[in-house]
Amino acid sequence: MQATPAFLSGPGLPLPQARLLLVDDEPANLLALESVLDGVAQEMVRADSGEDALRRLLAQDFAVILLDIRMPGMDGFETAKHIRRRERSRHIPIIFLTARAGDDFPVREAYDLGAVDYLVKPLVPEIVRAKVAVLVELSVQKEKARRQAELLRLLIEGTGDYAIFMLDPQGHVVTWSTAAERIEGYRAEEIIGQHFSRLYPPEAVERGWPAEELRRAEAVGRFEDEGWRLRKDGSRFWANVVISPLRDPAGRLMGFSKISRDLTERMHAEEEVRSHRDRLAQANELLQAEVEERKRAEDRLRRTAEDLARSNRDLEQFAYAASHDLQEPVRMVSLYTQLLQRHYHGQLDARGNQYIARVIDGAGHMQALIKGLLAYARAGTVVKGHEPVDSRAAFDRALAHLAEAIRESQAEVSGGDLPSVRADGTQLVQLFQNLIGNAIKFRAGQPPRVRVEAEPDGEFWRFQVRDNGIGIDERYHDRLFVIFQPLHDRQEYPGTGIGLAICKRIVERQGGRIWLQSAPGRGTTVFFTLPAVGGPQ
Amino acid sequence: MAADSRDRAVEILLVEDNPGDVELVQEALAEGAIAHSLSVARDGVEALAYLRGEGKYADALLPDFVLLDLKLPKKGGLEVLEEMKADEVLRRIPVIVLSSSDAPDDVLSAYDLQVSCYVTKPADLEEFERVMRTIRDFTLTVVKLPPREARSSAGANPDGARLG
Repeated sequence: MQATPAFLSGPGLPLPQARLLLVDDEPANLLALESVLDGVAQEMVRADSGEDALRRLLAQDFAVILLDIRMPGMDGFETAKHIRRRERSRHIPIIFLTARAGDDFPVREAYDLGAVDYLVKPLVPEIVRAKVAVLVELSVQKEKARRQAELLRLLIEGTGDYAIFMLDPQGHVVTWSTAAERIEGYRAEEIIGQHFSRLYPPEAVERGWPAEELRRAEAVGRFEDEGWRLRKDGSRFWANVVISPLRDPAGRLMGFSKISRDLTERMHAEEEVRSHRDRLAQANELLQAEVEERKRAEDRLRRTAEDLARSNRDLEQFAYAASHDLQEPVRMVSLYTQLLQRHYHGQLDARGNQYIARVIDGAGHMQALIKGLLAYARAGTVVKGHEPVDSRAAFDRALAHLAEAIRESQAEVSGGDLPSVRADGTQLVQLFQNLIGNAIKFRAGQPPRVRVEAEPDGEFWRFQVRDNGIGIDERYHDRLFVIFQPLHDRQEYPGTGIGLAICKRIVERQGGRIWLQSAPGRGTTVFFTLPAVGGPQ
Repeated sequence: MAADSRDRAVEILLVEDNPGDVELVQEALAEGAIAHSLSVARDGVEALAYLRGEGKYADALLPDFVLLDLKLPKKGGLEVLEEMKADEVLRRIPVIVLSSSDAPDDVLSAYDLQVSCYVTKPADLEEFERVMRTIRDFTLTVVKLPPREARSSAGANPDGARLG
C-alpha cells in the first residue's frame, strides 16, 4: 500500500476520477467508442496502438481499458500481457474488442490474460455502455474503499500513543499498527495470528484474565481496564485498555477491537506525585512531632521555670524567716554582753574587757548582716508592674534618711530633673539611699559631691549617681553587686557588702539594669535603668 | 464604778517567750517608782487564757495594757490581737507590740488590728533601756488608760474591778 497524500490535502474526500483507456488502430472505431461511452467516465484517453496504450498506462491510472485485439504491431493479447506484468496496471479490468464472434474467440486465453469481458464487433452501444459503466462504478468504489482504508490506516498509525489492533473472536491478533509495534514491541509479522494473551504478564494469564476481558467485552459491549502488560522484551508497562466487540450487521461476532494506551509515564508521574505527597505527609508528621516535642520541651521549661520561681520564693521566704528568727538571739547576745560589760567591767582584767568588746562588735556585725539579708530577701518579694512613682520624691526621702551622714560629711547632694518611673516607692527610696550613702561613705579627702540625674533611654529612664569619691578598680566591679562581698576592711569602711546587691535586686526586679563606671581616684558613677511610665509593665 | 488605774497598781500583761527579754522588761519597769504588777504569758494561747480568765487564771485581773511580742509559740501575736479585737471587752485594752521585726508587713498588720503602738526591740542596750523607759513613763504616767471593766459583758458589773 502506498500513501496518496493528495486526497488528504482537501477539506473533504473528493470522488475518485474515472478514466477510460480506449485502444484501437482504427480512428473511426475510437470515435465511435467515445460517442457511445460519453458520460460514463469523466475522461477518455485514446491510444492507436498497443505501444501507445502501454505508454499511456505509464503516465496515468485507468478505471477500465477497452482493448482491440487485432492491431498492427503489438496486438491486443500481447498488450494485455504487458499490462498484466506491470504492478501498477495489473488490476485494471480489460474489455477486449473483437470482430470474431462465437467459437472463434479464444475465450480462455483472453480470461487468462485478465480480461473481464469481451465485446464483439459490431458493437451494440447499450451493451457497451452498460458493461463499461459497471466496471467504472466498480473501479470508483474500489478506489473509494482503498482510500478509506488508507485513511483509516493513517489515522490508526497517526495515533501514536494508542496501540490499535483487531482480534478474531477467539482472541488471535488480526491487525497490527506501528503504534502497537512501538508500544508492545512486536512487529506485525511476529504477532499477527498469535493469541493476544501473549501481551499479558504470566500471573494475569494464569488467572485467565485475557479471556475474561473478551467475555466481558462481548457481554457488555465495551470493556475498559488498567493494568500491567508485557512487552516483547519482557518489560512491563501500565496500560489503559479498551476492548470492543465487532459485529456484522446481523449481530454475529466478527472479532474485537483493542485499543491500548501506555500510561506508564502517567503512572510514574502519579507515583511521583503520590511519593511527593507521602514525603510531604512524612515531613508534616515530623514537623508535627517536632512541634509537639518543642511544646513538651516548653512545658518542661515552663515547669522548670515555675519550679525555679517557687524554689526562689521558698528560698526568699527561708532567708526572710531565718534572718527574722536570727535577729532575736543575736539581739540577746548583744544586749546581755552589754549588760555584762556595764555591770562587771571593773571585775574583769583588760583582756576580759577586750573579749567582751569583741563579742559586742561581732554581735553588732551579725545583726547588720541579718538586717541586710532581710532587706535583700524583701527586695526580691516585691512584684513588678507598679503604679508610677515620682523618683524626685523618692530622692528627697532618701536625702532625709541620710541627713545625718550628709551633715557630718558636709556632702553636697543634688538632683537634676527626675522623672516618674514604674517601681515600688519604698524600694526606690532604698535604692537612692544605698547609692548616695555609698557615695558619701567612700569619700576621698574632700567633702563628697553627689549628683543624681536621669535621661530617657528607650522605654526606660537611665539614672546616674555620680560622686567624687575614692573610686573602684575595674577588676572589682563585678564583685560589687554580689551579696556579702565587701571590698574594704571593716575597720576602714564598716559595712556588710550587701547594699549594691540589694540595689541590683531592686532594679532587676523592675526589668532594669545596673552597672558602674569607676576608677581609683576618679570617682564613681553608678547607672541604672527603670521602666518609664508607659514603658514595659 | 470604774476606777482610775492610778488608784492602784497598774496591771501589765507581758506576752513574751524569750526569758532574756522578759528580764530586761522587768528590770526596765522596776527602775520606775510607779506601782505596777507585771504578769507574763509565755505564748499566745496562755495570753488569751489569761485575758479571758480561764483555768488557772480565773483569779487574774484584766490588765490595764498589754505588751505583746509577735513571734510566739502556739499562737502568734497577730492572732492574739485578732481575738482580742473580736472581744467586746478585750478590744479596749491598749496593746503595745514589742517586736524584733521591723518588716513593713508586720507593722502594717499590727496597726490594721488597731494596736496602740508598734515598737521594735533595739539591740543596743542603752537604746533598749531608753525605749522601755519611754514606754513605762508614757503608759504609767502620761496616758489616760480606759476604766476597768468586767470581762463578761461591758457594764454588766460596774464594780467589777476584780475578776471572777
